[in-house]
Amino acid sequence: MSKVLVYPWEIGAFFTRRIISAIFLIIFWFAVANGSSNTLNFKHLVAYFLVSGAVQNIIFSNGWPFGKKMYRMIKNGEFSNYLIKPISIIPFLFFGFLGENWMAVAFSVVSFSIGIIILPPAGIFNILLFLIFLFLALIFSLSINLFLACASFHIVEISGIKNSIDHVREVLSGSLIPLTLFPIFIRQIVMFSPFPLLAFTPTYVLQNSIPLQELFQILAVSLFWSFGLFALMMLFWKKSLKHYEGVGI
Amino acid sequence: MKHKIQIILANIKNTFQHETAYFTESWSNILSTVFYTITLLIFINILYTNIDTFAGYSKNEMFFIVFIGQLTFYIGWGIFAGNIEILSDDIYNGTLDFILLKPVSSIFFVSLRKLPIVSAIRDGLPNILTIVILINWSALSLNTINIIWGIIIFIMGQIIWHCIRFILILPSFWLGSAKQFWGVSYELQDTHNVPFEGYVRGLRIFFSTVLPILIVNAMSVSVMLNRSSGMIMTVWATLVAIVFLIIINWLWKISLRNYTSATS
Repeated sequence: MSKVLVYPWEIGAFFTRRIISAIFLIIFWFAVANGSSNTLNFKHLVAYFLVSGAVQNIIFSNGWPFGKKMYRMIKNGEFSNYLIKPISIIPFLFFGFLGENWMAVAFSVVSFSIGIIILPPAGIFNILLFLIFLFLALIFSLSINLFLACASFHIVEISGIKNSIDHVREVLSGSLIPLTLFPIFIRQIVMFSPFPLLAFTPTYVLQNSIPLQELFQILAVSLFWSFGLFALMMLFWKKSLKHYEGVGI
Repeated sequence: MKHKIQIILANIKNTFQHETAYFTESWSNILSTVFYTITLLIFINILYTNIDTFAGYSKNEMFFIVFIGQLTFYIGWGIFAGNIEILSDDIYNGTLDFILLKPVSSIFFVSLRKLPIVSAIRDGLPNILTIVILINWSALSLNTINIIWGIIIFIMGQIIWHCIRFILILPSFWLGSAKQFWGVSYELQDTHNVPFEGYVRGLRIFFSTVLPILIVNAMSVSVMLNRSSGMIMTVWATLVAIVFLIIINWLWKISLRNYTSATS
């Protein structure tokens, strides 16, 4: 955290960035809602994007910044410093990263608060569900971030792969356009993929009363992908570490 | 002038050698571009299943906005922006000293030292061509005069954007780091895919004068599609570009006075 505080003006610029981004999002959806005959509710759209944006920032899925940081460390050899320390590398690096990115988390809290003021949660139970899905989303996001880190042990340049996954995430997670606006058939297919968990699902369960059957289906899919992929990535991580070539190793 | 053209050609050649040295390692960028195009097309198609028009623009006209938006991105961000982004590091680690020692205008050199034309074409061409194919050109109300006005506005808009990016990186001279300031320009580029008519009048004026980010894309498209007066907008865009060029030259001089180099 103290690293970030060295440049206080940068903190101001960071919040300015986020506010500008939110303003343009509002302008965009205002123009879209005006072009809609009756299907789109501007207030609901703004609340959706504020909450889903907060989710993406809290779980670090927007641009996969944790994976990006790790692959840079692996590429420039800085990673060697952590291999020789008697620590568990992933948690150590993740919490260090969390400290460096506290501003994103702080802004997410503000964005989330405004979102639930505009459109309050459907009930107390929905808040609990939101927290459960947020945790699952964090596990899944961490897995993708780890995948990018692991890939950098094998491939020299992974920024293209990172961007490709990010583009897919933008559409299928509902961060670009809510999945409720998708044609029903396509939406049903997308809901079986892991991506909605990264933005749409936590927001959806917070803002809507969901039938029990649908809820169980979403929960089962989310549990499968988050823990399944995380287990797979831990295996991949252990195998990939053997490929690491650093100075003196 | 001849001397400056020789420098630009030398910079293109140097960048070309650098780009092609590890060309195959950047294959995954093409993959990213393909995914981006698919994402964009899905987005527009889903959007238009829920709306009839977007700020008065049909789906076909929206594809045209995206087409100009992509040109804006690959010319502005793909070719020129990298020069400005690395300026922050140059100031921080003192490598700007070497640029200041050269017998050329420093602002000219830092703006055009790297011109990655090959990378921009490699990454941009597949999706620009895809969008070109998707546009029903005969359904657009384009005419030669408006296209010429639009191209001039587009060029002026690129100059203005270059100046805006430059202004955002200059705090590095005082603060040591301006990465988040620079990041503001990324957020501002979100305006590229919103029609000029999608903004309320006050915002349209603000984003065409004080922070003229709409000129390059939204305004040029509006003129090309015959929704705004070509001559008035071209004169306006040119005036704003001249003012911004004067501003960055002035700010550059002030910034250099505050530069504490690595050796001083």
